Amino acid sequence: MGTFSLTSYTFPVLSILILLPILGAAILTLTDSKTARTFAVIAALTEFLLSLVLAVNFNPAQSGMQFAELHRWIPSLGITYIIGIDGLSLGLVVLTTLLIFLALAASTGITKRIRAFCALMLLLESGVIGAFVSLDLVLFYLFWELMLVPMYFLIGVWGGERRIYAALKFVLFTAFGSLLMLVAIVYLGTKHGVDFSSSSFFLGDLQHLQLSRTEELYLFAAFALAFAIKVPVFPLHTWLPDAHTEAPTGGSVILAGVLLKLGLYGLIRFCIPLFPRAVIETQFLFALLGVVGIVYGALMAWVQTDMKRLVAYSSVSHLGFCVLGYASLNFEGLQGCVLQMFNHGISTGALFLLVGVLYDRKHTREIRDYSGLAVQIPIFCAVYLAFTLSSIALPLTNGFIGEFLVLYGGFKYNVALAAVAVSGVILGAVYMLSLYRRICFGPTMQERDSHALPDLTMREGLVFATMLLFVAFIGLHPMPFLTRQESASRSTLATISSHAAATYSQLEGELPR
Amino acid sequence: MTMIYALPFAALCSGIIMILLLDLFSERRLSWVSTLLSVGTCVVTWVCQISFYMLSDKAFGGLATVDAFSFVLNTVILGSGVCALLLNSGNYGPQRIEGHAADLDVLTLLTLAGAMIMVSSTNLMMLFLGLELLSLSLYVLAGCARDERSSAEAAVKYFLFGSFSSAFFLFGIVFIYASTGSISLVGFSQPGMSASQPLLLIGLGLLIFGFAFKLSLVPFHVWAPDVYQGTPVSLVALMATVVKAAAFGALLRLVAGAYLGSTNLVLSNSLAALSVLSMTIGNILALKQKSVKRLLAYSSIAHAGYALMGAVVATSVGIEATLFYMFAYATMTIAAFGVVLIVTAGSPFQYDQDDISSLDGLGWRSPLLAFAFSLALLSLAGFPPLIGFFGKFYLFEAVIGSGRAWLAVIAALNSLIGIYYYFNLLVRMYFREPEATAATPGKTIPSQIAVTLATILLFACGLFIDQLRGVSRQAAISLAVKKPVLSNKY
Repeated sequence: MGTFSLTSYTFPVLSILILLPILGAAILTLTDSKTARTFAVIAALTEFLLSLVLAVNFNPAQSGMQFAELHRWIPSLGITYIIGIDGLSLGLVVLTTLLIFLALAASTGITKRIRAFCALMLLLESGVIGAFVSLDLVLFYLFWELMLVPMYFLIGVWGGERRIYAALKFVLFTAFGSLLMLVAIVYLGTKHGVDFSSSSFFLGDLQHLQLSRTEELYLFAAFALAFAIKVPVFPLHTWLPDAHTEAPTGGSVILAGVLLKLGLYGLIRFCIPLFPRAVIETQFLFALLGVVGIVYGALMAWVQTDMKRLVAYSSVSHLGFCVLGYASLNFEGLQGCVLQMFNHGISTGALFLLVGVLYDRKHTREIRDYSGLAVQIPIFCAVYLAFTLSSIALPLTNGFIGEFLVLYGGFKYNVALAAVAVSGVILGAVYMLSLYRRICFGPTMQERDSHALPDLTMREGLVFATMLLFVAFIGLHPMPFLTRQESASRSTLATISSHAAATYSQLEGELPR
Repeated sequence: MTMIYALPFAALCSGIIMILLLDLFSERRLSWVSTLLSVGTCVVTWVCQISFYMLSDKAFGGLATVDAFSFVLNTVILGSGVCALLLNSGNYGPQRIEGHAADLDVLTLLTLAGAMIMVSSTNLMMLFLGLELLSLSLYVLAGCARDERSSAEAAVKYFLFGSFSSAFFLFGIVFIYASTGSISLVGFSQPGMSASQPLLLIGLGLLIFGFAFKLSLVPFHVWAPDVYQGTPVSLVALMATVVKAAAFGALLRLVAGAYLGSTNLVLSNSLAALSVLSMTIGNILALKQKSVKRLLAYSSIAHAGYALMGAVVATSVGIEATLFYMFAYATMTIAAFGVVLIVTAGSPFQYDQDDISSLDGLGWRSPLLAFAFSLALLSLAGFPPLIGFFGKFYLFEAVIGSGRAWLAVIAALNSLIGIYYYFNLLVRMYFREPEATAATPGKTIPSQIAVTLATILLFACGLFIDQLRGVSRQAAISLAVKKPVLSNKY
């Protein structure tokens, strides 16, 4: 049970980060279609720069929440508007603003109802950032549910052929978990009201609750189900391939790059402090499911014929690494998990954007329709190779740092599982490089329309260049990122280790000697 | 002093008589005049009873009571009535009986009067009086579209089912009188009374039947989809909101007074069973509906099930939660039915044929209307920060706080089913392209006012949740301080 410290800043940066996109979306309704996209990109860029300011002013040495803000909202229920950021959420907030900006900049393929598209992306950004910085459970739940609606519309209106099915599946799966989580949240709040004479949903207060073992397991199950559906942990992943494939490019980028991270974020931010004993008891289960996800995702990706579906399954595989990192419950694993979340956002976001570029050109995502692109569009293939290598975790790319840390932590926890996870690295190389070989190398296809495939435009090039910067920077010099995450990881682990000691002594008392 | 308590009813009745006389003596169709007058009557009635918020006193010689509880429910009832009157104004075809524009408004006001009597009464006969006034007015209103077969069918069905349930209700009153010697609604809380008398239980059971019918709880819900579909849309809004508010008001009074001894568990368990059945079956049956009005009817059944959870636990928090949910539910329902009215009024789909396809592409044809409907649907589904979410949250808090977390889990899973069919309507509005032959919506200013008001309340209330909860708490407290009337000769 760590103490929860909040440091305020005079300027309410986080609230502005949440409200600015909503304001942008509202103003968008007044613009016309031609200027809508430009305005939205500018709004997203402003947001990104603001989050960079936040990152620069973040103090790595200080533990606890920074930039905290507290306002009364519903005192009779104990719901407060309390937000703050620490090493865990800082990277994710920056990732969100970056990816929204890049997705909007790259969404030239959207031709109809541009205003609504941009407005929904901005609303999504608000919801996601709000979820990442909320420290009150009901506030978190509010943003969590709020995100579903724009994403549903983004998939359903601008998506592919099976978009309605995919969108509804996405909403129903996520809502199933989150409704049960709501019951658990209300239970926690009312229990706090019974034990401490005033109900509260603030994370810091709820950490002091004494829960019985069954209570803790049930509540953890409700929370973990909701988060596991989001990650997604095998076998709750079935919504992901459909949703990712049918979503428009910008939607897929955000879905894969940002929304999936909310699951892992929730596990680390909420489950570990609130239900540490349950987390320890289910540690092996999560590690196992993570490893299964790695191998299963990789194998499924290998046999796909649709490029987007392949990248979607690769997401399942990569996030399996993050789950392993979380489940190993040690410093390296957690650091690796958090860093890999950021890396995965960049690399998978880029991969979806690259597939989107191809789709804009030839309107097909089937792998067999592409061959010999290296001759036709060499710059594209060079960029594609760079992100492929990042995804495979080649040393000197960002992916390597994250996966290495995760595997290190995994080996510290359980050698057998980590050994299987390493095979996932090989499999990752297999399907990614195989895809690359099939579309970029080989004989050039006769273009039916007999005009050449255009290479990357300046706009697309800039988008990818920005992401490549991160790939290289984190790959070569990850310390700035790792140091910012460090105090959050350490305090999370402090909770675990204090309970681990208690649990083991409990077990020793129970086991017959 | 007690004469002051009659003032709201006096205002309402004066308004009714005034409108009737005006209608008798005027030759022309003055539908907007009658709407104005009836809305004015409702406003005056509401103003007359503002002071009751602070009181807790008997009126009419002990037959009724004025307290914060009745004030809150009267506000919901009058507010819904005003919106229904606004929705009903204007010419919507065969509804308006030739030359007598005011009849529908008068009947609406009579419905409101009956509802107000129901929520204020502490005597079972008074309650029955209010119930019958409410029901008879609604039977006529259900059949007011005289050229439509489905409207006549709705009226007959409603009348038959309603009469049966009123008969059961009366029978229940008889049994309660036989076992306790009083027909006071709150007279059960007499100390020393053995609560397991079979006659008392039967009486309570029959009363619950009557309430369950009015609230369209499963398995007493069979009339609801047909009646909701056949009745003209503006009046369905009245039916769905006012009747539920009135019936819940009376039920909560009963429950608060009757939770004593072993009646406690039987009553609570039977209400829990009704609640679970309504939530589940209401939601499941809504999944396959092709008619918007029937879908909303089944969703109303489900929401009655949710609201009943508060009565199941009958703690102070439970009563507050149900009251708050009545307010939330009224807002959402009026917004939803208002939009359905506007969309279907301009098209041939008005009575039997209000197919879901009339909503196709509404999001791109009439963005504001679709936005209002979307907010109403999302609120019904329980998405934050709309008022529907806070209603469910309040109910969960009540249910979990009294140790019945399983009820909350069932409600949560049913909300999931609800999300499916509400989102299907969103699919229709936004994911499909509008048909070229789609009718333009029939907007009138009053109906737009009603829908706008309801929609604004939907999300603006997120900022005022604390104040609303305070009002609910005050109402629940006023209910609890009822002293048992030991020798009630009525």
